[in-house]
Amino acid sequence: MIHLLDSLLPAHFHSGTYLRLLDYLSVRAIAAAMTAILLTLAATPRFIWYIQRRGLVDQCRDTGVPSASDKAGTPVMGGVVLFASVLVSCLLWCQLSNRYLLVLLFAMVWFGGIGLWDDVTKWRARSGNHGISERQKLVLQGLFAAALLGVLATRLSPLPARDAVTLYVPFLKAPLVASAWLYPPVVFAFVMLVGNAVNITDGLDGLAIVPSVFVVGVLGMFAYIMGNAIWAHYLFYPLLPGAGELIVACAAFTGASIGFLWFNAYPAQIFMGDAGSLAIGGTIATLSVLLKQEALFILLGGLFIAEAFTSQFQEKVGVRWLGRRIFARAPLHHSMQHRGLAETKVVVRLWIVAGILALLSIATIKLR
Amino acid sequence: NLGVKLLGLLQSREHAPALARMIVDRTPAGLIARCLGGDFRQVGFIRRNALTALARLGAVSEEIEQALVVALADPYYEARAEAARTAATLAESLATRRAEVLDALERCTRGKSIEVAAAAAEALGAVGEGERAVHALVGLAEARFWKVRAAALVGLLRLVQRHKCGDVAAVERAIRRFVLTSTDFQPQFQIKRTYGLLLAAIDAEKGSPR
Repeated sequence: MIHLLDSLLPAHFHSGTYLRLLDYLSVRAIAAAMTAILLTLAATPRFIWYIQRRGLVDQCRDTGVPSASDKAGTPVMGGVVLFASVLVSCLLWCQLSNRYLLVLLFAMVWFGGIGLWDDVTKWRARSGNHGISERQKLVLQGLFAAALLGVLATRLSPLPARDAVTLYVPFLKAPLVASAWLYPPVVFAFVMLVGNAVNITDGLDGLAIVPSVFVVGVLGMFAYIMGNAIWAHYLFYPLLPGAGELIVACAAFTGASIGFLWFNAYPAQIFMGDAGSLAIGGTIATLSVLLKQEALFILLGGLFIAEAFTSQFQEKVGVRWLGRRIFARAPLHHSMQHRGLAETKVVVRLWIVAGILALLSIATIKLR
Repeated sequence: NLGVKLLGLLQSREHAPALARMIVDRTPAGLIARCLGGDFRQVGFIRRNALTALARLGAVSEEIEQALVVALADPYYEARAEAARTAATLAESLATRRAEVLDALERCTRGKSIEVAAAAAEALGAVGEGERAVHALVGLAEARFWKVRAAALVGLLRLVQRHKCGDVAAVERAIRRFVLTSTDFQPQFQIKRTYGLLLAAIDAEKGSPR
């Protein structure tokens, strides 16, 4: 909005003042991050008290891990504050006509809405095991994935036509695949997997938020590079005109996450709930698709993939088919706790792993 | 699986031999299941829960002791851990195969699985006696994982409480070797603790437990 107001000002007024700084993505990104941090820090305490009074607290599931019982009664749905801060910050500092941004914000709201519905259903049932069904979640997420593919296939797509169905992999300059038959199912599966992977990872205080910051931060760098003709040409990336605006949204997300971590660090005063974790997952998945970095996510989001894989493999293959555990516990963070690591130690160690994966992902920018 | 659990909960002692047979049944699972980590037709959860049921039943016979010895060498770690816990529960009733159970428990304490080693260490305290048991448990003083060291201390505690530890002074000297650092802790939330005490006091005042 500020960007919009600035664009309406007479040219001589714009260029003669500090408002010309709003032309720079970097300035707007920092402003968006700071706005989101401040909004989250200001709104979360009030939201916590509101949630406590309404009794919207964690309906603890018995996961067999002792520390899980400490968390009963903690307010949930903190993700509402998180994505509200991102939305407000984006509305203030982003170019609202940018189609990349609109697709991303829609993804965040859609997935956040699914998560919110799940949280409210669990609260009404007074049970962490009785949210909306897995099938309902998958159908709703699938609808988004299908809609995203539909948008990418039409003139509404923010992507250039030449890159509509290309699949890039790290270290290779040319796309690995450019197929209208292969690309859609890959992206569909990708959005479904990533959308839920963050949800599975969000099991310990602060565990999902910092790796998400790393992932979104790295994707923001890619957005800046791929939206800039000079950098894209120099680094042999496809030029995606307008994609640079996504760095402002990524900065807003990073700021909101940092602000939320203030309250979510152990022992958490509020959880993000499915409203937050699904919103984050949907955001990350959509960002990766828009920036043609689906394959990079295997490295960048390796932590989320490991968590999702261990959880699903344990449940679908081990428990339901073989009648035994494959891993000591699942997902990964529960396995680490089962081996005798304190929750805080597990969280920090997994942050370190996520940080290392982010650094390796950044290294792929030049190793091509 | 549900039936096995119910047999224990419903105290169906006449089915104890059937549970023992399920535990020792080594009919292999299908090829695809074995490729993915499966082992026997009576899957790991069944064998584990059958052991839990036997512990609940509390009945001991030659067949059950034999099943316990076999279970302590089970390829599935949860079954071995549960076998150790069952041995601890049935400790006082073990007769003919007590020595074999002790040997198996000692082997389990030296295994790779943390859960099994810890369960076996605690069980040694309930089943074992004298210098042999003390020696096996003190041998875990510098075990790599704190859970195993903690379980060894629990085992020693049980030996001392049962008056089966032999020379108490020697035990006191030996436990100084134990590495007491750990990578986990139990948080204590003062406000929740006080709230719980207040609820208990109110219940006591009302004369009805919560």
